[in-house]
Parts: sequence; structure tokens; C-alpha cells
Amino acid sequence: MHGGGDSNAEPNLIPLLDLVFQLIMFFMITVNFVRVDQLNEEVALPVAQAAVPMDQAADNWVFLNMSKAGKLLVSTGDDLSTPGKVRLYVEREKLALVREARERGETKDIKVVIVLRAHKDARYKDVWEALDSCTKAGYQRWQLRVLYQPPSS
Amino acid sequence: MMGQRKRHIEEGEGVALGMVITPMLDMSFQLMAFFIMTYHPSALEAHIDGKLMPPAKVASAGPASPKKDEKEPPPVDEDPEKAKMTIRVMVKAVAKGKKEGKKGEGEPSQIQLKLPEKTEAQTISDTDTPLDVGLKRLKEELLKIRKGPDGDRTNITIDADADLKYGYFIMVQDTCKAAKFPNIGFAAPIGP
Repeated sequence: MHGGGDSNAEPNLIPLLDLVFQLIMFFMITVNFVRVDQLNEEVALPVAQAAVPMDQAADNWVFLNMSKAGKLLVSTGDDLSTPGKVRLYVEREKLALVREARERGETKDIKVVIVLRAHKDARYKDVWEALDSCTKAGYQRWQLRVLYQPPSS
Repeated sequence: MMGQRKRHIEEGEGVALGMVITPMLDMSFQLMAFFIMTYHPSALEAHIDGKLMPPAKVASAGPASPKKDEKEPPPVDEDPEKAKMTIRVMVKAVAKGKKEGKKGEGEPSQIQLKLPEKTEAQTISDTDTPLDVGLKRLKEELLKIRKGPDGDRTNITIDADADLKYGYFIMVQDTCKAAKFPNIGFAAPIGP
């Protein structure tokens, strides 16, 4: 390589490897593994300007996705066709999350938040009924997931 | 042992680095491909926080009515600063399978504002009003109330039709938030 006339030239792979490692580091740091129920591509979220960024600290969440037709979709595949079934499901999830938190050693009051990701074309009635079922199941807080759109002016 | 190996490398014919790097590079590319494929930026997703009211309160959201079992109404002059006024934003929607003017099913056909001291609701927008114009008017009216003497003690309850599409409901809710009202409640849907 240094002689100029040497035909046994090999590419120097070390800078390439450095670059690849740096890219891997970037993706490893920014990787965000989400559960299926946290990211349902079927659900087109509505747009809001007054929404706040997601709180990554809280972990006691129960996710509910609502399709355009008003059907609730959950990762376990449970049938949530009636308000009674929704109530049972969210009650069960809440109990499981509280139990897990207790096993982790949390002693303070454990607050479980319901997260509703509803399709923008779902009927208000279906959204309200889902939240109503959560109220009856003892939930006190909810989050409605939306797409944040900064104010235009 | 380590010293011997090091000396061997230093004194020997040299290490063919290409032979060592190639499998590592393959593995690195595979790792990179994995991370590129699983990479999902979710920064645009945000949330609207809220508290769930007990069902009875949600259904009767609006001006507080005395409970039936109470013999005497609560004293009104005990702490007047804490007394809160609730205004209602009523959103009627085009019924399922129908069309009103240029508006299709689930779109807001009428937005009204009902103040507790008035018997009649004020119409903000109707079928002929484009939605963005209606929301702009609603925001202006709400801002007037917010800047008024009771603005700090006023809550909003949104009374929406059952058929209203959730996306439009969020737009109305967003308009109320933009008018700086901190407490916005959702009432039970109107209609079947």
C-alpha cells in the first residue's frame, strides 16, 4: 500500500468498523421497545395542540386501544364487546399491576392509570362508555393519547 | 502466557487484521440492521390527562344540584371563593348515515354555549359554519368568560352527541384548553 506499486492492497476496515459501532451505540441508546398494545398501527390518533409529552416515569398503566368501529383492542385478545367485560378486564389488570408493584417492594399508594388510544373516527359514545367502565372499576385517572401538533402561530 | 502472546504478536510476522475484522463486521452489520428495523421514534405522541369522576357526577355534570337526602341546602356564603361555576359547551353532531349541508356523519353540526345564569344556550356555530370558524368563535367566547370576574372559578363541561366523532370531540376539548380553562369535564353522551 505504501509502495504505490504493490498490488496486494487491502481496504482499511477499521474506520468502517468504528462507524458501525457508533451507529449501533446510537440505536441501542435510543431503542424503545414497546408492547403491542402501546403501539397499535390500526389506531389513527386525533390531533391536539394542548397535549403534554408522555410521562415515561409512571409504569402502572393499562392500555386500551379503540378501533374506528369503537371496538376495544387489547394485546391479550380478550373479548371486550360489552361494558361489563371491559370492567372485568380493567379490574383484573389493575389487580395484577398492584400485585406486581407490591412484589417489587412498593409500599406507597399505587396509582394505576388507564391509557386510552382511540381512533379519531370512533364515536364519542364508545369512548365515554369505555371511560365509564373504568370509573366503575375504580380507576381515578386516565390519559387520552393524541398526536401532538404544535400551534401554527 | 499473556506476555508470551504479546511478544509473539510483536515479534512475529504480524496479524492479518482483515481476517479478524470481517466476522466482527458481519455481526455488527446484523446488529445495526436489527436496531434500524426496530427503531421507532414516538416523540409525537402525547396525552391529555384527566380525572375520572364517579358515574353519578359525570351524568349530572353542570350546575351542582342539592342532594335529595339533604334536609338543608349547604350554606352558600361559607366560602364563596371556592364556589365554582360550570359552563356547558354543547356539541351536536350529524347523525349516523345522514348529511347536513356539507357536513357528513359524526361532524359537529352545531356548537352552543350555555352559561349557568342564562336559560337559553348561545349558538356559536351551525351547519353552515365551517368547523375552524366555529372553533375560533368558541375560543373567543371562552376567552371573554375566562377574563371576566368569575373566570378563575369557572369549569367547563362538554356535552357531546353520542354520534360525534372522537377526533372532533378532542378538537373542541383542545379549544377549551386553549382558552386556559384548567378543568374540563366530559358529560354523558346525548342521544342513543
